[in-house]
Amino acid sequence: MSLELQKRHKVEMRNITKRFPGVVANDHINFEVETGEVHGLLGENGAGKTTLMNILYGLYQPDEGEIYVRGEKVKITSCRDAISLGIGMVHQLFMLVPAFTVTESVILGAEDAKRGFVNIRQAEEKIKELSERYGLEINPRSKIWQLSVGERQRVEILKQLYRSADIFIFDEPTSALTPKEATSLFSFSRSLAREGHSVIFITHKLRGAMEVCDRITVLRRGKIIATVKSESTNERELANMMVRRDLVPPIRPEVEVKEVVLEVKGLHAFDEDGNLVLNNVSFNIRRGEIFGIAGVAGNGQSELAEAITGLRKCSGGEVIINEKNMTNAPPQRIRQQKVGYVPEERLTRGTILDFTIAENIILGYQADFALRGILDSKLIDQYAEKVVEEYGVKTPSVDSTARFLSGGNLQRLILARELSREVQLLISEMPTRGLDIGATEYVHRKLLEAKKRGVAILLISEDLDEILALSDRIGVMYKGQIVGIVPTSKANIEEIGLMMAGAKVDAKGKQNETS
Amino acid sequence: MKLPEKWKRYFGGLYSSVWSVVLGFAIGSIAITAAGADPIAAYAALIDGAFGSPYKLSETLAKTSPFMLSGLGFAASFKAGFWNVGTEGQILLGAIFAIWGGINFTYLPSILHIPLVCLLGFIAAGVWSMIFGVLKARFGINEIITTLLTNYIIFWLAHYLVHWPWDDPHVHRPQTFPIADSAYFPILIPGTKLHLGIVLGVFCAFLLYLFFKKTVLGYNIRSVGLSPDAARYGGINVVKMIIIATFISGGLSGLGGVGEVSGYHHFLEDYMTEGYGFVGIAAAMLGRNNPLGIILSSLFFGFLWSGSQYMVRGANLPVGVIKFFVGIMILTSLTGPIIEMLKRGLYRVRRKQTG
Amino acid sequence: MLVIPLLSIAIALATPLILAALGETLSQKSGVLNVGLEGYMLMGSMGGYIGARLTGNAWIGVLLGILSGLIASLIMAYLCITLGSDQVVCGIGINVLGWGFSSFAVRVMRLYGGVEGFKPIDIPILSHLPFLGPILFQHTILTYLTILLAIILAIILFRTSFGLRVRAVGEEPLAADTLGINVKLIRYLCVLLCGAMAGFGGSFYTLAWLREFFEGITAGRGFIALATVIISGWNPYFVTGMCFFFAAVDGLALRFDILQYYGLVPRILPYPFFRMIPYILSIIVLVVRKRLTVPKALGVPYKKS
Repeated sequence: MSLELQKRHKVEMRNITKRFPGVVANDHINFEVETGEVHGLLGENGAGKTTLMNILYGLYQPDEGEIYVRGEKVKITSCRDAISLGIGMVHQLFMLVPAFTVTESVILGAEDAKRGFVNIRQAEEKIKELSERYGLEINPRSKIWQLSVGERQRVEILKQLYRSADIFIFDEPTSALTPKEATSLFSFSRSLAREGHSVIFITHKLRGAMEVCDRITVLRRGKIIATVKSESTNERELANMMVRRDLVPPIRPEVEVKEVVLEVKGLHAFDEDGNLVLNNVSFNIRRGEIFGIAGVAGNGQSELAEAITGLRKCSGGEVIINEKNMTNAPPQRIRQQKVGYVPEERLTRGTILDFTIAENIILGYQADFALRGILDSKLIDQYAEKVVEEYGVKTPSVDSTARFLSGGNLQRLILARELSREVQLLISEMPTRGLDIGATEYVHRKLLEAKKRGVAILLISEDLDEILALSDRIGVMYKGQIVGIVPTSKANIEEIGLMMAGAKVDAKGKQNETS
Repeated sequence: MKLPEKWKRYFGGLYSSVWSVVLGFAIGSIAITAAGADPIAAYAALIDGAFGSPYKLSETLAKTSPFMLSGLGFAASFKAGFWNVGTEGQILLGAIFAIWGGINFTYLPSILHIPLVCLLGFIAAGVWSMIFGVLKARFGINEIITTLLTNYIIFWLAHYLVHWPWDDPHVHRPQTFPIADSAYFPILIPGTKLHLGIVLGVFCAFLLYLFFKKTVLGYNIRSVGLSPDAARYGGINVVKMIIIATFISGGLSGLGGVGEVSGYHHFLEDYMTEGYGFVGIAAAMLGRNNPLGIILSSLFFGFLWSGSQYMVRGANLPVGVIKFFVGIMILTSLTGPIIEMLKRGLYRVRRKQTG
Repeated sequence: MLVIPLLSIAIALATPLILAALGETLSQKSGVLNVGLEGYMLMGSMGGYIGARLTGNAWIGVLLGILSGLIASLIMAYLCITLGSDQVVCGIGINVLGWGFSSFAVRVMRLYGGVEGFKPIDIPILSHLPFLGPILFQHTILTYLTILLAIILAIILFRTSFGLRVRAVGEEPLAADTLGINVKLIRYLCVLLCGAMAGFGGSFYTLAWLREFFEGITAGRGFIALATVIISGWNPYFVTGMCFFFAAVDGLALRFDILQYYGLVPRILPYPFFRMIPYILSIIVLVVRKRLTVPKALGVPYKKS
């Protein structure tokens, strides 16, 4: 390779291999990023993208392979090394201290302190300057816990800019942003590239990758499939490379929709800090209908699910299930109304990882398996085995701990538990988050089967494609309100995107003032 | 290897337990040598002191009883996610109520008086502990600090009772009246100190084990301890479960205190139960908060404490050696991870060799 | 007039409390809970006594006291930070160990009797002021050093980059780690400083207060220091204030009989109940101040994946 070509590569990772017990996360990967390019790293969950970048950032050590930065071979053994090489990473889960101010968060670790003392004012100035230059509006004095998700991401980005990073790694940056925020992130990335920096975009979203990246590298199961120029490919081709087959959208069965199972009228709720999280929410769901709630995470969806399942107190309004008033009823009573709940937090709320599979299967229904307060372990094991087999939960025995199950398996466990109790209403929150294509297809299949059986389903998801594919009607939530309900057949993506960002759309489809 | 999963877990723990004990004895021997005594002679005195005669063995078992009961107490609330470090105070409170019940109600026959003092001690300590369970469950107040402070509140209460209202004028030292004979725990083997307390302890251990394994209430409490969110979603009343668990927890420690009064000393004096509650916590952690494991670990500490009293006499060491030794053992029980590190290091070496 | 000696005693007794409490504040801010504070202080008392008794020099005693506390905290740091063991059990172990070892060592070395220790200094001019003089300006040098240390600590925590990192490590160690900060090293430093300061505080009892040693000389003061840290919301200024207050109660307890004689304390209230006050008060404060800004990572060992 000529010296010139070599210099164009800002980062080169050769033959990188990383093994974890039982899986090869990165399998002899060759990956390079050029100066002034936005390079997408595309792949399903578990394909190895984050692992590869964690190696670049010094969080992991590769078992084999070498890394070259700006043509020189380097050894990155810690985040410190990566930072000194000009590598900055904006993680999927923000690494911020809620009690700190923006300034403190940005300078942490790079305080530039004279004899140990920190000059806050000087730092503030520099941050203001950077935020103006790159169009990242933020108040340096605000505390992190006061900021929205989009603003927090800006702080993370400022952290890297403050350290004069040259190579930016974004890990799934758009998952919690509105379409508008995502667009500004894209243009920010392009301006970084124009300045000569390199940007690596980890994502599993095809559309985003196509829009912002110059080149896209697809990973599948730890191996590089191909590196292509985004202008010479299309979404179908990329999806094919990601999963080796075409994405088949689920076929929604036509089901006769009958009586109302859930009715929510004018629901109001506050959180512990006194903020209004549910604002006059009203809708209903009928038997055999899937009602999808679209919206960026954090606009009241979780609180809505909690209110309906009895986990959150409502200060006003009504929740009526099967014509019985269940507002603020205890969760156990609501469950007795044949209401199932697949919560968003699989690991902390949906299951107890240190319980066995069997113990998890009966969670919420344990009284049904007991006589005079004593559990019938034979009955429990029998039931657990039956259910585990029916739903295909892969486990050596029902007595093993749930901790060792994969994400997809855990979700099967939760679905199995809720659906086999013959529920009439199912609340499911982000059911396919973090799951690979196979597991996602399984969850969709099970939901549609339930729909066919006449179960009313409330589907909350941040994946608009999922909502469009599965729901009969769609409600969009923004800041605790339902800003619009549309039947899917008449749904228009742009309209929904606007609603997600807060614009109310009137009957004629014209945009009103943003609420 | 067709060994069931559970066996592997138990035996894995055995390595680190053995290592901890050996390390503890090793460190102890350094200190003993520095003190000018012979470690071998000292340890011989220790072992002889713990098991050397039926009487000494009974002393060991008698010492084990408060360790076991307070260890079970700690484990009971730990299962609900509540760190009850007030075991010292709860033991003492149980002892106080045993005195109260033992000095009054003297007209009762043994068959009623003994259960009465047990009940008094259990309920008093249970209610006291429950207060802090409520504070945590309903108000989120950190229980480590609150329960830790309560130890001293009860300490001063006991001090007051011993020196003022219940002070026995016939005895020169500050000491309470002795309890009535009818409140004495039966001695299981005549001529020894082996009283009902140890039987109570083992019985409670089995009861607690079955409770957590087989009952709905036990299931509910365990889920609260492992994941309060998931438990709430599962329809379990988290606050109620914590309250129940802390009541049982305090009550068990209280029983340990009752045993000290009714079974061993028959009166109460200053510093009588000092340190027992903390050792109970250590026994609970060493026994992985499993009631059956706690039976073994509290026996170990009973052996240490009782035996080292003879080490003081036998090897002419100062009294502080008892707490020193027990403290060392508590700390070495935490060094288990060193074994893991060594194992991993050996594994890495072996891999390099085989290529 | 009773007030003057009372306040003077309060300031003197506050010295060890402040030292231990500030050390604990630093440690807890970095995420490590030291239940074994009493153990550190006991070791410090022992070290102070041994040092002064053997060499006749009180400053050697202070040095040995600091060292003893440091060693105890080193054990804690190794077990909890490097090995990731449970901090509460470790603290309990250190307490029991400190109890036993301190008296064991002193008796083994056959040291009995008193030490000269530090005498209160008469600060020229200022100590002759009518009211403030005896209260503020007639203390041992240790007290004045303590005040200096307190100020230094507050500055470090809030104005320096080290302080910023300590706070980050105590709230979100993962965030600090990804920014290249060595979480374990910072925690080690904080815990060791805590041990050193608590050891220093412990030496006060044997060198400037009672001037002798017996088992359990610290009598639970380590736990009081621990309580002050938490009820003061981890703020060094409030911590110092709380320590003064509890020391005042402690001092009142010493003159209890006089207070009762003058009818300032009801005859009905016996001495032990008075001693309970700091503990009960702490619990009440905790109940009232429900929303405390606990360092998020307090008590949780940091494990790298």
